Amino acid sequence: MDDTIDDTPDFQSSWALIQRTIEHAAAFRGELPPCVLSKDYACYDCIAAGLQECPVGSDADYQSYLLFLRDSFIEHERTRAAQIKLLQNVLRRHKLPLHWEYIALLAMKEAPDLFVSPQSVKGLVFFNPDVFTMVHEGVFILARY
Amino acid sequence: MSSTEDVSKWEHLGLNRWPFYTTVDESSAAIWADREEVKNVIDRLIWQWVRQDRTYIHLVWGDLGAGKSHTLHYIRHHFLAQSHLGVLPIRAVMPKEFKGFLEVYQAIMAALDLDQVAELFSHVYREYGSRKNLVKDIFPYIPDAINALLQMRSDIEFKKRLAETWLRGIRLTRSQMDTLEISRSIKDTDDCVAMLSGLIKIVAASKKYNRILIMLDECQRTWEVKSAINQNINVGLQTWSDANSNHLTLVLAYKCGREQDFINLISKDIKSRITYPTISLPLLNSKEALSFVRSVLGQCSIKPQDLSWGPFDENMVKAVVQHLTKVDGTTPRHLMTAFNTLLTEYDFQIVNQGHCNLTIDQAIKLVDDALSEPFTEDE
Repeated sequence: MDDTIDDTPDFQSSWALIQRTIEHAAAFRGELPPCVLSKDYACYDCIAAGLQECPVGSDADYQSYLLFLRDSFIEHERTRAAQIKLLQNVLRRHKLPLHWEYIALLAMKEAPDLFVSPQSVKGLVFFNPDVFTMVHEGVFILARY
Repeated sequence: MSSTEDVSKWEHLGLNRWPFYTTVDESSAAIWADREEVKNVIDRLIWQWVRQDRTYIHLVWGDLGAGKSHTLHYIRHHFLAQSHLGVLPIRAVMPKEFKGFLEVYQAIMAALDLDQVAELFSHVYREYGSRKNLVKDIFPYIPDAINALLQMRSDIEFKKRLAETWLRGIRLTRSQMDTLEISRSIKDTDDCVAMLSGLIKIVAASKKYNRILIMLDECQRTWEVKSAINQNINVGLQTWSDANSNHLTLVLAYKCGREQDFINLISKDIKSRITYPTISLPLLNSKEALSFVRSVLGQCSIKPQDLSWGPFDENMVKAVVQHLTKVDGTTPRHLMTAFNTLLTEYDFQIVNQGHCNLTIDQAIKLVDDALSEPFTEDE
């Protein structure tokens, strides 16, 4: 984990740190500074509010870049939700435990464009324990049917 | 219990025996309820296996509780009851955990009556007249099998048990193998295939049987292991089938929620060897479910050719079936569980009160409670 990313930096922080924090929020949480969304340059509650000259509000290209990061995040989340839903359907239909390789085989047959490789299925089933329960090495069932 | 006792026991329900079983057992193996299309497919396959010598691999597919195990029991019962057809039926269950084909071999051998095999072998031994010819024709790769099968006829119980253990693919110590005059264990896929091939040759040469029918249940367990292990199992099965062009029928039963998923999950190597048609057991719709219940009740009715609903009111049966099939359909196991619960309640009320006053709502509540019990693969 990158411990230089801080949701609550103090106003003395350098612009470089604030920039990274803003970009991180856009790319991994889908959050943008309020001025990018409202265009009224209201800096209240913004982490960059302490800066005398804020490069976000004055740089349209940079705002576009932040919007791109945010939209990529939303698209990623949408895809991820669709992937998880499809994997849930595969397991719900099957009713019994399945090894992730076979979950991947069925999922990729059903929606070949949704998954890059079987490894992406592996990542989803291994790292979403609230949805998928591992019953033994590499074998999963749904946490809730 | 005698059938006369059974008739009097369930007479108040209009039945000569209890119709609803939630687990498969020998007493219900002969019953086939409705599903005429499936029965026609099975009858046709049975006919084919008896008529032709060639080797077949067939698949059985069905959802959880759809009747796969019952189908295998039914086929087994058919050949046991009609031994003149010359088919030796074996129903084995895929082990829950396995690392390769050896465990599948052990499961098949565990389901075999080795005393019967040893008896068949002794006939074949006499026919061949010499050990050398037997080795050459039946166990060229693993001649130790002949010693083990001969020891199965030994008067010394200890040796007989050791031979049985070795034949079932369980490792013996060096000194135990020395006792049997055996040089090595059955340890890899090649050994297992050689043993199973020899077994087919014994059965075919015995003159009592012309075919061995191996039905392997719970094959979906091969999808609960890494694909590399599954590949090893498939290699074993296909090598075994390829090595025996005659006298073998291999039936592999898979549980899978959707037929398309099942097709996708079967390996190409197995797909290229299977003989169609596949025995498919999809969910029952409400019409099929009603026919199923009526057929089960009819087969257990005191009156022959009875088309009534036993002790049940027709509207109640229809309401319960409608309730059970309202989503995607239902399985024979759910129907059996539901009507077993209702019939138990009817039995209790009629015996204790002289009549049953169960309402449709109460019946549906009882059925929901019975089916809401968490069930597992082993149910």
